[in-house]
Amino acid sequence: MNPRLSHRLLITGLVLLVMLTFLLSLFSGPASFGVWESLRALMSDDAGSIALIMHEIRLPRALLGLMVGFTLGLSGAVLQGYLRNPLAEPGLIGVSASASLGAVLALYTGLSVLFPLALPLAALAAAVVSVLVVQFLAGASGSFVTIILAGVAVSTFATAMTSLVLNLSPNPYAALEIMFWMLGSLEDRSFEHVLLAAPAMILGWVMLLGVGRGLDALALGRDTAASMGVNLRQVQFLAIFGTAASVGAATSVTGSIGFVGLVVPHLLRPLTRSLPSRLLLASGLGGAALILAADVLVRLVAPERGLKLGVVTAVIGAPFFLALVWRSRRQMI
Amino acid sequence: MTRLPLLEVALQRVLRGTRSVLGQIACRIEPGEVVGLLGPNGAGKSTLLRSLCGLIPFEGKVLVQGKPINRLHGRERAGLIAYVPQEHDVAWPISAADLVALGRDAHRTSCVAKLSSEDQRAVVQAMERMDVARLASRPVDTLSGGEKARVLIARALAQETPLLLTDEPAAGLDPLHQVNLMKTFRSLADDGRAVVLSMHDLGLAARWCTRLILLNRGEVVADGSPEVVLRPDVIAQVYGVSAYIATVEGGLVVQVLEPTSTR
Repeated sequence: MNPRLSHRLLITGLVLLVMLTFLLSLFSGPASFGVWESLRALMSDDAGSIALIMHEIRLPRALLGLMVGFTLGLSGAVLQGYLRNPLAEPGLIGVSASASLGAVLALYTGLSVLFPLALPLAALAAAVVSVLVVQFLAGASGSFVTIILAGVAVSTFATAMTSLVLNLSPNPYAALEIMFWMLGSLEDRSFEHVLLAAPAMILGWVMLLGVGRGLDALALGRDTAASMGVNLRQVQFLAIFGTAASVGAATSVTGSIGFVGLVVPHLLRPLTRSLPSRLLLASGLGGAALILAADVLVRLVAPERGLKLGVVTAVIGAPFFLALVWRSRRQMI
Repeated sequence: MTRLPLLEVALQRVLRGTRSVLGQIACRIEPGEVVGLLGPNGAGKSTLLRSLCGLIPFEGKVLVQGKPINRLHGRERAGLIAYVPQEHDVAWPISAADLVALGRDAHRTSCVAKLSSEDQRAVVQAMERMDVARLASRPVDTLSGGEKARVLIARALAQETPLLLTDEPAAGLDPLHQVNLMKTFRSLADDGRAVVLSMHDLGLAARWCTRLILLNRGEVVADGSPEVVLRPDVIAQVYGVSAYIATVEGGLVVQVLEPTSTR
């Protein structure tokens, strides 16, 4: 099939999938009312209870799921392309955990009360630091082992610090909060959260979607890419700060949700002829569909238990991760 | 108006860390030349190629068509010089055709990866020149080392630059493809382009290069036609091996024999 046509088909299919999961997310929840009723309530301006639930609870939840999923899928694809490693992922290399730490610090120092944008900005700053640390530790070659080791170290440290800050804070719900930041959730999010995170997330998307061609050239190595006219510094800046901005903002309102950025690019890569530039948008859409679907599952499987989104994505993601490690081990032999 | 040389090199020194890898090197390379860079391991061949491409900092100057390489904009430089490094690692299982098409990147201005008919012609021609057209749809990770090397060279050919720099392109190729590669380089030179390649095969260098530059410990030991550079005493001094050299119809024949006892 014509490659351009097949790419368009893939994107169209993914858009339809996102729309479907978005609607499913809107229609699932503890209060059950019909599809038609919900849609009508969503469109109307009256202040009935159904309309209230749709506007204030379900719509922001679905929107946030869409945005966070897009962020994780897209940033996973960019990080893998940039680090030239299929194991790179915002969660695995410590970006998400560091962003959580930044967000918790902003919340518990009271900074976010003084200045609401401090929350996403602190998460963003912590995310930038983590990517730089991992990149520094892994070196220019960015070998398989060093990136993972550096990521594990940064991730563990940031998670521990997050727990420490919460444990030391005068907060009776510290244990619950720690769970939220470590596993992530879309529960009880309002439009305020959507608006708080949206600017940095969208800025990050624009930066990340701009590096596709550079990532294609980087597949051939840094020297070749540079000789082909790719500005490596620009690609590095866009990849790192784009990831930090979008993942930082996403994490600051939903906690760190793992494995999406790992699994989605990996699943879609064969369908995009392995070209990083073609993977970016597809992976973002795939991530959005996966988070929305996982969030529906969270509400279907254990509606009363407060199941965390990160649990579901990890249950799906961990086996993939194991398979990936298994395969790369065989390749190395 | 005097015509500017394609490549003018006046390097003072190239440092890697604090170690000086290359000393003073001066040469001019004109269209029509196939220049073989010779020298033992660690002589500075790769460093020289990377300096010529502007990939590493150096003291001195490198001018491409009169323009300093380190002041050229990335895209402009990519229009003048194509480079193939020694390492052949490709991060993703991209198909051979897609990989060669990446060579047209420098010429594309749109944000969306879309090949014009001119791009397509360049890609097909490059793949035919390197005899990899039949591998077009194969992912590169399924190719043999030599096939992958040829695909990567095709990528650089597709860039259609006046100057091609390649680091040990003949390594890992079978005899037929080695000779075909050198013939391709000669035909590029006949089209008014120039090729600089590092190599270890003295026989191949003797027969196919129009000019050889012999490096040793970061210095130029000899520079000139194969007949001038490949002399038994020079080879013994630089490589520490004796060699049989003869002139036959169509050029020079060099066969390395054994280590010289002086070392």
